[in-house]
Amino acid sequence: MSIVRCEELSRYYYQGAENAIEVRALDQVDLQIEPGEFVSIAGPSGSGKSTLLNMLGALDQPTSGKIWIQDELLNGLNKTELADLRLRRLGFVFQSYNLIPVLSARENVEFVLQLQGVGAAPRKARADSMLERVGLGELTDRRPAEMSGGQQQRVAIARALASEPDLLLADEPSANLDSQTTADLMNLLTELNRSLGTTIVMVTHDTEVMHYAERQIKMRDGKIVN
Amino acid sequence: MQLVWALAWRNLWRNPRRTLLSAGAVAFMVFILIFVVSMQYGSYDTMVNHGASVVHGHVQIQRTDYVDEPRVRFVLEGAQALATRLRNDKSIKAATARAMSTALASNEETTHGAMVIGVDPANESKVSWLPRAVDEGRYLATTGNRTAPAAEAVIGRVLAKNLGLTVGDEIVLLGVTPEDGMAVLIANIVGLISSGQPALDRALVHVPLGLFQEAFEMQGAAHSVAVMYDDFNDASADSDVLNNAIADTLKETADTPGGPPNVALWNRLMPEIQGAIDSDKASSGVLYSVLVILVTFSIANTFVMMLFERTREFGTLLAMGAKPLTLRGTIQLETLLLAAIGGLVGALLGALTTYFVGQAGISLGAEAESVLAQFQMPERIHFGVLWKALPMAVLLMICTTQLAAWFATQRVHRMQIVEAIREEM
Repeated sequence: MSIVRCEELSRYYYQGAENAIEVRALDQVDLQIEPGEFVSIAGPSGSGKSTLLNMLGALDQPTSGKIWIQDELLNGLNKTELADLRLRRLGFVFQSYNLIPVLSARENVEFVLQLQGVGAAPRKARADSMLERVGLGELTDRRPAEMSGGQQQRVAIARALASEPDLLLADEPSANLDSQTTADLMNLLTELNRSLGTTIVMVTHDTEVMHYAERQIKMRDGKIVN
Repeated sequence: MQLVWALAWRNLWRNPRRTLLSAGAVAFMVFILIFVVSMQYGSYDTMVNHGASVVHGHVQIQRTDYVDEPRVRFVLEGAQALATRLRNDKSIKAATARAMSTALASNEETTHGAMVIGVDPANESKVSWLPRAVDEGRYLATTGNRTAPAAEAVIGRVLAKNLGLTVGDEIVLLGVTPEDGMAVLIANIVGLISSGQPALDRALVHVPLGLFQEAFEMQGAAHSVAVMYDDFNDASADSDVLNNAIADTLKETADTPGGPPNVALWNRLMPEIQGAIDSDKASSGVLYSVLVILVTFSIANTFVMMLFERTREFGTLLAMGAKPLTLRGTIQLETLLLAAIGGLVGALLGALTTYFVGQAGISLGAEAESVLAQFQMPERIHFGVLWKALPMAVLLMICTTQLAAWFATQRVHRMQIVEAIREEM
């Protein structure tokens, strides 16, 4: 069974006076991603890659078309059901890391587990283990402001993977990093994809970064072009 | 759970100045509530105690028919025994029996109406401040071991002036006995009372209770028993202490012609004071409500600002699967901590300030002091800490800030996650 399946997925925005201008951010997209794949979605600005990622992450609703995460049809799920799905089955890595500034690296990772209702002891153990895995075993008590961009993004990856999601969605994860840190981060994602078997979908506009993924999807004008 | 508390606590100190200002607003409100309410209730104590210690007492026991129609024949047999019994109870500060009648007060040339009150001098001064209002001569001597009461009287200064009498003169009082005979009471004036209350000063005559009973042929009876408590809030018209003492000492029951004795509390005896207190509570309640609303709005505004600043953080948490109610719960927790900090500081400062200022007393100004002194009222208002105001003020602020936070964070439900994540921090 595919981990992601989209059928004729569209997302239109309306702008201008009386919403006269229709912007087709996503236009009749069909997509299927299999478990364990590492997929990159690339394209120029405005091509619809982030919109597609938002759809896959159940963060936004399509104008038309259908989308499944494994066997779960997202269309028609209410806000609470979508929140539950994101909490239990999806992991997110954002361009700006989006860590909670007042929490330490370990607490940031723990927070998602707490939302899932994991007890204090296993929560801490799993957070430490994930931070160890991303190479931050020594920095568990540091707060985001005390870490470099690359380290913060590793914490964000540990946070996204700690809950053992079916699908990891990464939105331009290396956009704010230098080339060496980017290479380290991409190697880490590749290694995690192989060792944990987590399906990864990554949006990037960086052609070098996109080649770390085993499958590359290119988008233009809201459509998949390859 | 520990993580949620840690998050709430640390979030408070992300912007220390704002947190301190908000907590300061809560502290100020709690401080004001404790200080002003303590002072307010302290002034009620003064009003009630002063009013009660003119004549009535906190509780007054009389025959029911005497309450409706104060005739000299409606006597309370066993009144002195009742007063003695009540004085022996620890919960009661003082109690005294009195006999009262209107009379004609005469000198050699003129006659004026008077209110003659037979009092127990030793106990009257514990119930009433009138014995201390003697500004010429002295008050009635206590009977001591003597069996016969002294034939002496203390009269109002205006009555003395109207009758052309002064200390050392003789006053003749003519009244009616319970059996409709003529009562004649002759006494030497030993003191003049200036109570500051014209009605009293032009009619009041205090004589020893025994002298009154002899002259009015009361056969040991009296008309009322006045009872004072340390705290008027302890007074109850239906206490076991009163009911048992009445049952043991008085002859009046539900079956006797006058009915059972009437036990009246200070607020029935002095409805004007109760009315003044009710009115003051209502108007101050409006003032406090306005202040609380102002502080609550300022806190709500703070939370609206905070929410805007943390939009991306909330968007991220919502994206990760946090429910809006969970996020609002963490903000409620932050508010609780904020209100608790402000509340505790306000309660501490409020209690300390109230204690020291209350001990020193608040002067109402030189002019007011002379007027108050004339009415035998304290020149400064003294008050204690109204302890129950502390938890009530803190709880009130906790509840209102919780409400403010709840309304301010409604926006979390309407938050568009995709837009929130992109928000600049």
